[in-house]
Order: sequence, then structure tokens, then C-alpha cells
Amino acid sequence: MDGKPLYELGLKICSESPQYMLDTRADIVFNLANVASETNNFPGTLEYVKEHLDLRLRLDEGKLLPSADTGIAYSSLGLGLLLTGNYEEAVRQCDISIEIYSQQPDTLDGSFYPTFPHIHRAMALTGAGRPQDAEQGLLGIIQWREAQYGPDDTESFK
Amino acid sequence: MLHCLGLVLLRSGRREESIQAYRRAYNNYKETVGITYHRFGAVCGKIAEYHTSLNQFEAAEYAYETPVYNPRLANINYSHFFDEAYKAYTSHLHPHYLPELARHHFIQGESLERRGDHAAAQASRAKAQELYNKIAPQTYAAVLGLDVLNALVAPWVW
Repeated sequence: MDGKPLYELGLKICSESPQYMLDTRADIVFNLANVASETNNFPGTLEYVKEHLDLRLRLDEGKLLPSADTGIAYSSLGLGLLLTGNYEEAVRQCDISIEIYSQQPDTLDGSFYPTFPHIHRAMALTGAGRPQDAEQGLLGIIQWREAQYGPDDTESFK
Repeated sequence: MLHCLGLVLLRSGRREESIQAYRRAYNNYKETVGITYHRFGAVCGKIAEYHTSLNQFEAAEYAYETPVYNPRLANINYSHFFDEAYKAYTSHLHPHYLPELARHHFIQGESLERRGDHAAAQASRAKAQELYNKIAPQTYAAVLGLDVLNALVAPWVW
């Protein structure tokens, strides 16, 4: 079962009232980016993640701080860039993502750890030939997960 | 994350720590997303490559799956991990994972060559070449190598 046609139908519906459905459109584009990345469509991934970030930034207009959704949009842009071989720029986008997450209440109180930005950053650093710089962020994830779920958890595949 | 850590440590020259991370990723994927997930296949490939590099063709965890003689499989010594990788890449309706499959056949060919089964190695490399020609018809690689195949897949597979 391929979910892509359903997402594309969702985008079509959103396009009929673009000014009122920005958040729904952003969610759908994010999912399409994930479909593209999981199915080896790397140029398609990059297109979707760029659109996703653009939508999240528009939704953030007027807010004091960027949202967690914008944090994941920068991380996803990092993914799109690393999948298309632009590793150093991918690292920069993941750093922005991590910075945004560091200001979120659930990150500050320790109930959340931004896993994907660190994973994407580590992959980008490896692609850039600097894998030794990637370990620290990953160890942070391990420590947080062990504290939350115990060693060798199967809470999720993350 | 453990999958990513395996690659980071491998590329940092810490092979034993890397294989521990890959083993933990193997268990995590098996318990969460399951054995048909394409990244489970990638982890199986990395573990198989590790054992191949140590000539551990008959290690328990690299056990042959042909205990009963089968003439059809006489020259094909499918190992546990290679077999699992193959299943992960081919158990989907859509042929998204042909690049991973090409790489899989290539590294299996290397393994078969290393253990002295030249005919099976040649057959495996021919499958890799055939898939490569299908995936990248606009390019030409007289001799396939891991660098050529890695360029077609996401870093998770490297």
C-alpha cells in the first residue's frame, strides 16, 4: 500500500484554501519528504524538505521563538542535503535545528531529546569525512534513552 | 541511532566498538520495525562485511543455512546475515531498494571470493553489475567497486 496518492490528494485539498491550511500542508509535505527519503528519492526529498521549512517559517511569523516543528524542519533539510551529498551545509542546518530544540520547554526540562537532528548531523559529518566529531551527540541520545527506558530499549527504532 | 553510531565508529577506525553498535541496532530493528525494514538489511550487510573481513565464514553467527544438501543451492552458501539482508531489500512491492540490492550482491561476491568459491562469487558480482546497469544506465563502471555503489545509497548503508 502506497500512501503517496493520499498525501497528494491532501495537498490538492489544501491548495484550495492555502491561507487557512498552512499547518496541514506543512504536515503533509513533511510526510511526503519522509516517503521520498525512505524510498531512495533523494532529489525529491530535498524539494519537499525545502518546502516544509518554508511553510514552518511562515507559520512561525510573529512568534517569539521558533517552534519545535521548525526545529524538525531544519533537521529534515539537513537530511535532504546529506542525501544529495551536500554534507557541510547539512551539518549547518542540523546545528540550527539543535539550537532551536535547546530552547523548547520539553528539551529544557529533560523530557525530550532531539534525536533526529543529532542522527542527521552525525551522518552528514561522516559524509564530510569528520566522523570523530559525530560521536558526542550520539552518546547524548544513548544517555537520555537509557535514563528514560533502560539499556538496549525497544521503545522505538530511533 | 545505534545504526548511525556503528557507521561513525567504523569510519573512525574503531571496528570492534562499531560492530557492537551494529549488533545492538540489529536487535533493536528486529524488535521494533521488523526484519523487512530496509535499514535492517543494511545492518545485516555491515555485520556480514565485518565477519567476512575476519574470514569468519563459519562463525556461529554467520552460519550457513544449507545444512541439508540441496543441488539447486550447491554453489550458493547463503549466510544468515546476507540472507536476511536480501529478504529486507526484496520484500516490498516496489523496487525502491535496487541500489541496496546491487551493493548487497557485490559484498556477497567479495565474501564468496574470499572463501574461495570463485564461481558463486562471479555470479554474485554479475547480479550486482546487472542491477547497476539498470539503476545507472547513463554512467559506466568497467569494474564495480564499493565507492561506486556507495554513491547510489544513503550513508546508512555505507
